[in-house]
Amino acid sequence: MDTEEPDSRLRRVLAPAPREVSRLVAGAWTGARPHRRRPRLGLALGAGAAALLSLWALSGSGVGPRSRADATTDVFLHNEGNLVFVELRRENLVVVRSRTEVSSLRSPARKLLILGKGGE
Amino acid sequence: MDLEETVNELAPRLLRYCRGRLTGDDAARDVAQSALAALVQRWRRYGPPHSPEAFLFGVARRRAGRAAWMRWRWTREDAAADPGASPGPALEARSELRAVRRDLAKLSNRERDALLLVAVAGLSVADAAEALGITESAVKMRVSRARARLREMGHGH
Repeated sequence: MDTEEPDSRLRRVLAPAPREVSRLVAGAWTGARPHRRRPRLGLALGAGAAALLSLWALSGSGVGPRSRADATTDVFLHNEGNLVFVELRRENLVVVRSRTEVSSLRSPARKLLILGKGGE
Repeated sequence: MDLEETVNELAPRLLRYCRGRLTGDDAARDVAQSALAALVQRWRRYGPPHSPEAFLFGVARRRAGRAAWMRWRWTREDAAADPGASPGPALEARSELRAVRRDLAKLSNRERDALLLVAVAGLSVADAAEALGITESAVKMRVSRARARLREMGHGH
């Protein structure tokens, strides 16, 4: 028969290793966790859905910008200050050469890619 | 009251509590870490709580409860991480820890929480009552019942 009192046995058996305690204290100041985070199911599903949507959009099945681009041109250009932006439509790319081209911009919702300074 | 001293003093007790409250060591460390970080954050933002112990163990208790919902995962990982290949004292300590957790699992949640807070984490009855949101006499009653049940299971005399 074990003659140890329940409390002292619990305290002894559940006592953590000193290394664990110092890791815990160190982590308290940084907010770090002592071991890797387990990926959560919701997060994994969300990431999977985002990846599928990205693939779908890249494959040209997307709606919205594509349909408008098909009707006019594949690329819209925009000049803001000394930065030139290009709005991409599918794989085509047109380099801006003049403000006239820039002024042809008509899309208010732009996915912008910074080409560089200047643009004239 | 100094934050650093408080953290150093409470950390081992917190980890002990979490190890008894959850079935997996990773889960216990995770809950302990997040509770301790919550105390540090609270202290820095609003100053020390009325009772740091009650605050810390109250947070840990709630988070451990949530983590227990994922018990099947902890249990599975714990079993996978079982160091069956390393014989000797480490193995004995491991099997004793498992036995204690098995016995704690036979207690009701209320009894186990009260016992772990008072007997393992070393909280005063008043702090345990605040952390659990119950009266002091209820804490005493739960601890007493838990001790009696553990004795029946072979812990102690």
